Amino acid sequence: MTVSLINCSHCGGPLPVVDGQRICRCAYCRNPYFLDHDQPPAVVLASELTADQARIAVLTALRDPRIEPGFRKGTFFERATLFYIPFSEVRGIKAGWAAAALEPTGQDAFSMVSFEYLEPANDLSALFLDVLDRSIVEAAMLKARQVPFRPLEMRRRGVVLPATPTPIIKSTNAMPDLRDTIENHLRLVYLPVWEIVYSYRGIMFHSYCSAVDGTMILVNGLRNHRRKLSLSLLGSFSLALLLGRTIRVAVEMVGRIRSGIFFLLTAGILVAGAALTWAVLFPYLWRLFAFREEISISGNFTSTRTISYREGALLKFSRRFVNSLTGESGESKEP
Amino acid sequence: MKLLSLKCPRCRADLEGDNNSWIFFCRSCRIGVDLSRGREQEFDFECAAPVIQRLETPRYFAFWLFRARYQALAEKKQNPDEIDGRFWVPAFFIKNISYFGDIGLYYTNRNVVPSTERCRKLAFFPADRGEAHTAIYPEIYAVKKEAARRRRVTGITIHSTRLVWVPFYEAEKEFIDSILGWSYPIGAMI
Repeated sequence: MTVSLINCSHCGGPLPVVDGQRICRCAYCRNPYFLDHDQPPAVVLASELTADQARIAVLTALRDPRIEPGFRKGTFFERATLFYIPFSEVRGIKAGWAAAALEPTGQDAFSMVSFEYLEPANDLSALFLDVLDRSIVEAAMLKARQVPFRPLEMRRRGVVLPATPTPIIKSTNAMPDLRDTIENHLRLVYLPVWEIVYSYRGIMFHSYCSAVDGTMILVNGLRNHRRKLSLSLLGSFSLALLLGRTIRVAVEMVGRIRSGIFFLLTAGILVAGAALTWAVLFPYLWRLFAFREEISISGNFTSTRTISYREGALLKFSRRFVNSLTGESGESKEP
Repeated sequence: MKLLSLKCPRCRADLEGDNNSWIFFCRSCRIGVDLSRGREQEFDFECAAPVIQRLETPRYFAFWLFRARYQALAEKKQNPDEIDGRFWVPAFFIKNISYFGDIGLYYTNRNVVPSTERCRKLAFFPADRGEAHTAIYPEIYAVKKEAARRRRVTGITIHSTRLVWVPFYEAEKEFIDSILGWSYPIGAMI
């Protein structure tokens, strides 16, 4: 937030002006002023949800079938923070004579069309919101009420992200257009978003919901592994059947040959094949049982990220097992 | 950076408006001060009486009302017709007019004549389209209206401009127009 100082033309006192602010009042003579400058005006959408309501909205969203069933009950609420996320909103109207080919009637027609374009005015990757589904934000903005832009009050209530307006003029009409832009406005829109932080077995998760209407923007949780587990069990069962049949055929062949060299050769091939199968399958089995995947759900879009909270426990267990075999204490000695 | 005083030029009272506004209002003098041309321009305002009565609280939205005269020329005629018209242009931006409809155009096409009444409590919805932004619309509306009749507009002269507050009823999640009865989502009109 940049604060620039200009002087009151009535009493000469300083006028503190914050970015996005166009109306200010002299602190001494209370004269109101309008600042006509290049900065776009800012508007704030009203925050209708309290922290508790946002937390309940997140808990409801954690019932999603893509998230592990026991996850919701095992979470521990850590904190809730209100973020004001700036968006550059370009709004305008195009009007003109559309070409004959573009009109269904086949005649030239004069038409008007409005266009709106929304662009985050801040790098949202720090908030894990770079996968933000814009349709959710646009829907929230359509329902929102507007409240006066008061930056100091906003900073008391939550975190106001700095804004870098991006004046991208873009028509939403994908067809070739002969119409001219007759009106064009750029403004900053601050969308209030609740960040709910909760932990599950020591790992922190963040979820974001719109403070306007409680729409979930991003839900983070552990991925439901039941489907993956059942599929892998089915695959292992089929593989075991195939392997069992192969071994039975090999044993029958060995019984027929009754020769020492061939018997050793066949046994060697079988052992090598079994070792190879284990080498191929083991990383997948290890991954399935030792690793968990964090799932991020934003609208219809999901992304997963592997986390390894069980990896440490398994490594500790295997190290203890090896140490018990070798007879060492396993604790690092001081040099 | 230009600094403009937000005092009424007539009575020196504080003007009312929002951070997003281009037009600021003085209730006692009943004028709107437009700053969209980089200087103060005064316009008288009045309140339209609602045609449709509802129980909800009326909130007022500002519209520009232009009175203009234009010439419309048909294809096989040599002399243009002189036409007087009222042109309503919202002093606020409506999102997605292709879907929600341009209410100013429909007021214009239906030739709504406002019957005025004493202004009740005015809600401060930002009037974020100044006269500089909307002065082109009478010509656009006239061209669009005459295009349907296969006539073309040759020249337009704006005679008077004033501000009219039109009441909208505030329902749960929408505003309902008190003249045509249309409804808009709350976020589409801010």
